[in-house]
Amino acid sequence: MLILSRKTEEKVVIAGNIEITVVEIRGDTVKLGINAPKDVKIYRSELVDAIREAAQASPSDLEKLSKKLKGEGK
Amino acid sequence: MGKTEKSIKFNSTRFGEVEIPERNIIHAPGGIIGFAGIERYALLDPSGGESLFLWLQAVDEPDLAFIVTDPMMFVPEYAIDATEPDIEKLGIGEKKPPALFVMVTVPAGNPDNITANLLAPLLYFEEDNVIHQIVLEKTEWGLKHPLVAKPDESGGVE
Repeated sequence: MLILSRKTEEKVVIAGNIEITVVEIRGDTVKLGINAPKDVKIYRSELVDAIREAAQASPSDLEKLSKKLKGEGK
Repeated sequence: MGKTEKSIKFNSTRFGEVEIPERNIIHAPGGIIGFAGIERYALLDPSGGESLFLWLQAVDEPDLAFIVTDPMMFVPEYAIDATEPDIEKLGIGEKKPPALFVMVTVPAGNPDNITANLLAPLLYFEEDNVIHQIVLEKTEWGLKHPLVAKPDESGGVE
């Protein structure tokens, strides 16, 4: 992994058209500003990780759950 | 008029060979988040209408499938603000309102801890057979909202 040190208001440029600015550093939180072309999708990695985890599901676990949900029948 | 319907066969890791009418293929322009470039899906119901869950199976990636459900079955108070930026980008105003699905995570071997991704729902435009995943910005709903209340916990799910 490439590691760069940046101060507040300093930037990095990726592939010539994506610009990331360190807007604010407070405690353990860094605020980033991102300028990128409209077709570049930007997501927090937690979201992508959660969707990848969802893609691991197995039909047998779902079947167990479905049976149980029905069994409750409240 | 006796027109034979074109069907498509594809392979899936979980369900073996699947055959569906070609017109039932669902297009996901841009793909599902984290799976860019995979744009053809099929909604499968291996339970034959018995289950609350469906599978969104990638047509071109046998291993890629998501469990989806109608969030209203579990979280009736779930709502999406019409002024969400992603909704406005889609310009739903003139179209028939889409069906709403959310992705479900069933932890391996521990299906009781099932959660739903209420932050990034799927909008299914049945007329066009197009599905869009959006990310809500004006919401408190989370990535891993528990769907089954634990009987041994008296408190809420918050």
